[in-house]
Amino acid sequence: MNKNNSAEHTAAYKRDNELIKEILKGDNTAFAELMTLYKRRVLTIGMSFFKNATDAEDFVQDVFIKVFTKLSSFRGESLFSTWLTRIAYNTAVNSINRRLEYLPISDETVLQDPGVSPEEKQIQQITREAVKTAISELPENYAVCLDMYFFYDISYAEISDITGFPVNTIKSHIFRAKKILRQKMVASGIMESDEI
Amino acid sequence: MEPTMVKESNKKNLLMDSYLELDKGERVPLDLSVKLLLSKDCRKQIKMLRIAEKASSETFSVPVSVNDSTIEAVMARIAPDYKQQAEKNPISMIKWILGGLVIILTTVFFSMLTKTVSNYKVSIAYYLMVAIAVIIYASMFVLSNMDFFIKRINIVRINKKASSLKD
Repeated sequence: MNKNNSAEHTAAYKRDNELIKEILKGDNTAFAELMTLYKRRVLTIGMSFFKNATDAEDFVQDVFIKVFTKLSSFRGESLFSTWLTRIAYNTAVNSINRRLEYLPISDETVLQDPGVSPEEKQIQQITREAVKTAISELPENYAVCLDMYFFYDISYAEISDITGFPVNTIKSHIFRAKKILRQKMVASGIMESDEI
Repeated sequence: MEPTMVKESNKKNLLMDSYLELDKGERVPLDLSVKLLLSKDCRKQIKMLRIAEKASSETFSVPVSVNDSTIEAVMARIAPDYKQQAEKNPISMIKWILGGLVIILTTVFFSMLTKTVSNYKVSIAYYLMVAIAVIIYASMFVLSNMDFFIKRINIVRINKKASSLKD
């Protein structure tokens, strides 16, 4: 696993590894459980590449079948979510049905906020706007890197590993996006609140 | 803006830039940590940026239902007997509840009946039988749902560890 671990990553790593052990022992219900945790992520990647729900649903099925067949080769060196995202990204990029331009998450309407507080909703909105602004200043194919960092929770090195873009380029683009996010948050006055 | 204020603001921006360069979950260098901690604005901004990153990625960590049509379609392809496996539990929850109710009702009914009859040997024998039935009922319930309890205990253990790491 990546050396930069948060408590959430550690918990997810353990939970996923337990499920993977069960699957490899032949417990198929554990695979269904694993899919419930990551379907939303894979579907969103599908929507970004295929831009229609039917193709995205087919894509989700293809990705999970691939994951199931390749699961024994997962060595746990990264988070399962990162490994899964890599498979999803490669499947999407190599698909003949995919649209040429990647549709960033910040442009998407697919996002459904799961019962969050109004403050969190506002923060999510500001983050999306910041990422959108940053993406508009970047070469088109780097949009996916920003999505991976901000929405799929993947580190610089892992994004580089998945996409093949140089890590320093990714780092500088994400740095720019974070600066925009900071500016937008300061401008919105949300930084003044002690409530959150 | 006064020169001292400009200088202060530039210093803050430089500190924040150093922080923003860090990767996900990367350890903040000690000297930077100390400087950031001493600035109230920086502390606030970092807190908000952390919330922003967490909130934006949380949208994709919300699990879907196990009865989701895509999940069922995948399971049908990789494990055609999945539905039967998932419904393998031979005794349904309704039957468990009914069994429990029967035990409770017979106990109540019997105690009402024996109010007038004062044969304490019969009462002791009956209550011993009820106690044994309750023990067997509870043991069978736990054993037949062992899988569920193990998973629950594991989740609680992982969550506890995660919150202790957070602290």
